[in-house]
Amino acid sequence: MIIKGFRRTIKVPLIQKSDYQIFNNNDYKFSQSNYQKKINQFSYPSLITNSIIEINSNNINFRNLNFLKWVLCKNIVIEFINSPSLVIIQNIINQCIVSNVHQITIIINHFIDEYYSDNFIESILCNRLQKIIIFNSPFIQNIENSFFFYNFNRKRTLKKYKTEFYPDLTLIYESYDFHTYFNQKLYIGPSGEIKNAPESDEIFGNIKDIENPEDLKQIISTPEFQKYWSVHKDIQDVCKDCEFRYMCVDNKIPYQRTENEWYHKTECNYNPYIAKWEGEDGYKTLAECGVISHENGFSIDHDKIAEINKVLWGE
Amino acid sequence: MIILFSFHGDRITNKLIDWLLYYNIQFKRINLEDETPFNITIEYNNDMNIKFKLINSEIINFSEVKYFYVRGVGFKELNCFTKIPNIPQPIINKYLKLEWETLINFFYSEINKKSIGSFKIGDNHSKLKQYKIVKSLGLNLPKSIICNNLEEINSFHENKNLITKAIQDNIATEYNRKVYLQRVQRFNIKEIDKEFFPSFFQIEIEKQYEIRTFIFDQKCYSIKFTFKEKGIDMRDYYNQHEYASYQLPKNIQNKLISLIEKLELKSGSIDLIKDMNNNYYYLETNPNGQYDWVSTFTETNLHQTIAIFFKNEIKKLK
Repeated sequence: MIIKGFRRTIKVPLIQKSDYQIFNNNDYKFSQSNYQKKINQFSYPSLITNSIIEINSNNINFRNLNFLKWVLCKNIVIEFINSPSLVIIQNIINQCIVSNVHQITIIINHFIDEYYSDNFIESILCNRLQKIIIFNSPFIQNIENSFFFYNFNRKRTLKKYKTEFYPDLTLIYESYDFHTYFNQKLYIGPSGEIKNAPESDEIFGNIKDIENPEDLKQIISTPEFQKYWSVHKDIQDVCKDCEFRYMCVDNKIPYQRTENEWYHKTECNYNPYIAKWEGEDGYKTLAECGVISHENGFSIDHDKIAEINKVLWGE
Repeated sequence: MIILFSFHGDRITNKLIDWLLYYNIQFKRINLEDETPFNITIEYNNDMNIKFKLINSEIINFSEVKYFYVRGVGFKELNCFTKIPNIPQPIINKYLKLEWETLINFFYSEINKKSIGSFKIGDNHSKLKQYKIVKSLGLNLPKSIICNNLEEINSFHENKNLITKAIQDNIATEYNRKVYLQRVQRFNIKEIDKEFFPSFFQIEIEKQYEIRTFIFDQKCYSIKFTFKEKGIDMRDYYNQHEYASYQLPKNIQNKLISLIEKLELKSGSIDLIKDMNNNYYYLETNPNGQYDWVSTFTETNLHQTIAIFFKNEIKKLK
C-alpha cells in the first residue's frame, strides 16, 4: 500500500504488523499495481470502539461500567486522578471483562508502595488484557510489557512523535473515511460528564443519569456528538498532504471552513512540505514555507517550498 | 446457548463475542485456565448426559448447548498423582494418566462433534491420517517419505532439495518460560548419518506462493502470500510476507471441503502451495487453525460470519 505525501511517500507492506518504508517522491516509481484497493471488511458491530474514562478514586462509589457493553466498546483507557487500591482496580477490570472489553489501559497518576508488590502485580497480570501505567513513581521500570512505572508526570499533548506511527491496516482503512481519534470515541469525565473526547468542549449529559442502553445510544447517535467522526485527513488542510495521514491518530480539534474543508488552529510539529520535524535542523513553520491555513482559506506557495527544499535536500 | 472455550486475553474470542452480543445470541465464555477438568460428570440413565461444573459452581449441561467454539489447547496436562501404599508410583501414574486421558478425550470428542475449532485428541488428525485421505481425494501431495536410513533417502530424492519436518501435529513446546518451535528445515544429505530416528522427508516444491484456506460451513476463505527471501518455514521472515485475498479453483475447493468432512471437523485451516506450473500441493490441515488473519485479508468478516452461523443454528434447533 502506498501513501503519497507532498514530498515523501510511505510504503506499507500488507501485513498485520510491520515497519513501513519512507521514500522521497522523486525516488519512488509509482505504478498502478502499488495501489491496494480497500478491503471493506473492517466492520464492527460497535457503536463506540474506544473510551476514555477518568475516575477520581476518592469517590469510592465504583463507577458502574455496564454502559461499555451497551455500545460494545472494545478498548478503554481508565485514568485515575488519585491512587486507587487493588480492590478498586480489580473491580474495574472485572467489569470490563464482563463487558467484553478487548483491551484495558489503566493510568495512575500517583504512585503508592502497594503498586510495587508481587501481590498487586500478579493479581492483575493474570487477566492478560491490560496495561497499567503508573506516573510519578520513584523509579522507571517495565514489567512484562504490562506494568510501566515512570518517574515523571503525565502530560497531555497535541504533539506527534516520529516513533508513534504504526501501520496497522485497521487504522489505515478507518482513516480513509473517518477521523482516527474522534471516530467512535466516548469520554466520561471525573464527574460523569459525557463527551466525544477529552479535548471536546461540548458536554452531552451525565452518565449518572443514564439508566438504559437506549438513553446512551440516543446521545451517541446524534449528529452533534458525531460532529468530528467523518472528518478524515483527506479533507483537512496540511494533513491531506502528509505521508503519515493514514496512520496518524491526531487529537487536535478540526474546525470547519466549508463543507469539505477543515483546518486546525494549532500547527502540527511535523511539516510535510519539507519533511522536517520541529527541532530538526532546517525545520520551518508552515507560514515560513508559504503555507497558509485558517478560517478564510488554504494556500500553498509551491515556488517557495521548492526553493526551501532545494536548500534543505539539494533538489 | 453457545459455549466458547477460550483463554484469558484472547482477542479473537472478544471479536466474536462483539457480534454475538450484537445479534443477541446467548453465550458463555469459559477460560479453561480458570477451570478444573475434574469437574466433569457423565451420567448414563436413559440417555447419556455430560455436565461440566465451573469454578463458580455454575453447571454447563451439554444437552442445552447448541454449539461450541474452541480456541486454545484445552486443559493443562495432569501432573499431580496420589500415592497408594504398596503400589509403585509409576504404576499409579500410568493408571491415572490413562484414566484421565480416556475421560478428557471423550469429553473433547463430544465437544468437537458440534464445534467450530476443536480440541486436539491424540493423533486423530495427524499428518499421516490426513495424507491418506488427501491421496484418496486426488489432491497433489509433495513426494514424501518417512524412514530411518540414508539408503532409502538416496533412492527417494531424485537430486532435488529435501526438507524435513515433524510427523506430529505439535508445533511448539514451552519449557522454563521459553517456547521451542518445531520448524520445517532444508538439510544436506551429506550431513546425516546412515541410520537415524524415524523422520519425515519431503521433496521441496518450488513455489509461486503459499495459500492458507480457512474452511467453514462448506466454504473456503483463502489468502495467498509470497516469500520475500527463499524461506521454507512460513514463520521465517514472518514480517515480510505480503498477503492478498485469493480464490481457489472450484474443484480444489470441493476437495478441501470434503477433506474437512472426512476428518470429522466443522472447520479447519489448510496450507497449500502453488508451484511454478500452477499445480496445487496440499501440505497440511490445522484443525484449530487461525482465521483472524485470513479474515483481515479477505473480503469476508469471519467473526461476523461465524456469529451468523450460530444464530442460524439456534434457529434451526428451536
